[in-house]
Amino acid sequence: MAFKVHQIKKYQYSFDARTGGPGKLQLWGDAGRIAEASFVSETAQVPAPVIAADLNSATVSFRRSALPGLIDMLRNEDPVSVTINNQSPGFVFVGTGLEPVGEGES
Amino acid sequence: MASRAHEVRKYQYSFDARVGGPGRLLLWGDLGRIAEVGFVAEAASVPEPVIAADLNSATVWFRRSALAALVDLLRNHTPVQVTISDDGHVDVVKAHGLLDSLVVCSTCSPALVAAKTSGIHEAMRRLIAYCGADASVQICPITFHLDGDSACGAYESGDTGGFSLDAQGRGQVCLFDVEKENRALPFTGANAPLIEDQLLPVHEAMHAWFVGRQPTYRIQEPFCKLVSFVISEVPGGPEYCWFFTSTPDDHPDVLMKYLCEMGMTTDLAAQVLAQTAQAAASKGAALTDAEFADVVSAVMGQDAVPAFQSAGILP
Repeated sequence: MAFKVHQIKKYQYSFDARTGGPGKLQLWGDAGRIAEASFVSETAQVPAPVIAADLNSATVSFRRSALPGLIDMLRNEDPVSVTINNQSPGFVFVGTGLEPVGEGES
Repeated sequence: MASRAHEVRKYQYSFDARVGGPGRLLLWGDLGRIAEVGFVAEAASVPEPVIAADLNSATVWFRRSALAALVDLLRNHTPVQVTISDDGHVDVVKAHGLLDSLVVCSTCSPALVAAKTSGIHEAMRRLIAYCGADASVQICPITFHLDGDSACGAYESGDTGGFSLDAQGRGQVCLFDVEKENRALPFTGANAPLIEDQLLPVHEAMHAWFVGRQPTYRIQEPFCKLVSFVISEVPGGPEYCWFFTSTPDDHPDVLMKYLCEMGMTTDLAAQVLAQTAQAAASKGAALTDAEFADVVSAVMGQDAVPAFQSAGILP
């Protein structure tokens, strides 16, 4: 088992008029694109993450309802990182560091 | 039923691509991790909290839709408290601090109460920033009484005011602003919100601040006085050692005279208070006189025990 933690420097997201909802959310670090997230409906099965062998990138899926929380995190917390872990069956977290309580929105 | 309240200092949360939504939310206090929060689907049943026997930590679950409000609470409010009870309840709540202090007066106009409330709240905001910590959530909100009432009793000539705990363990401050003959500024709507009119509220609020951190009056009193000078911008600052230089040895302020002789400054005093708050939180109890002297020594980079001995606090 191995894992890498990548700090997110930039993010980019879109809404796709073909699906009428969130399109792709891309998370970028110093070395390039860390993760590309797709969004599935609330009742659909969430596809398993696809993780690059070098643990430097991943393709992941979230439910559509997670998008506002993800955007809020990316906009207001610092640092935010992606943890890519190949422990079977592989998992990917997008998370904050230790944030002081009451610091307010950035 | 027993319960323990823990103030949340830091939080950390993540989204988990395996479940396509919120992963874990971790809440941290001075003694370590207080709570680990998992999230379940809207239609799923919410598992019962798993509570540690010492009531210092718990694993709990919320519905996914609760994450946004929880993050808003943690990000935008302070203090936030987790209460863990042995009957199975775990609550994450906005707790009260000095900024939630109440101001009451049975004989004042609403406008005068509002003006004084404005001044006290600004002073409390500055006090928290200077000391690096709020008062204990257990004694808040504190009520400031502007006149003699059932809580403070009738004013007697010469009363200056005071801090005490009420029957429920909440802080109360008696100011007697209405009756006092020797106020520096007349008690008017124009003066009440001024920072220079908050000398006594800050002094008494500092006694509240020391609750659970250091109980000795001869340690509290000089720091309460110094902080009240700093926050209410008493003329002659920002350094105030000049005030303490001729303090007699039997006066409760005398510790500051000896600390000033060692080089105590306004900035160092703020560090002493911030580190006192951290040390008491880590210990889980108020510091002894010797432990407080150790904090002062660490901040000043020299042995402060002789100052405490000269002040008659340590043998």
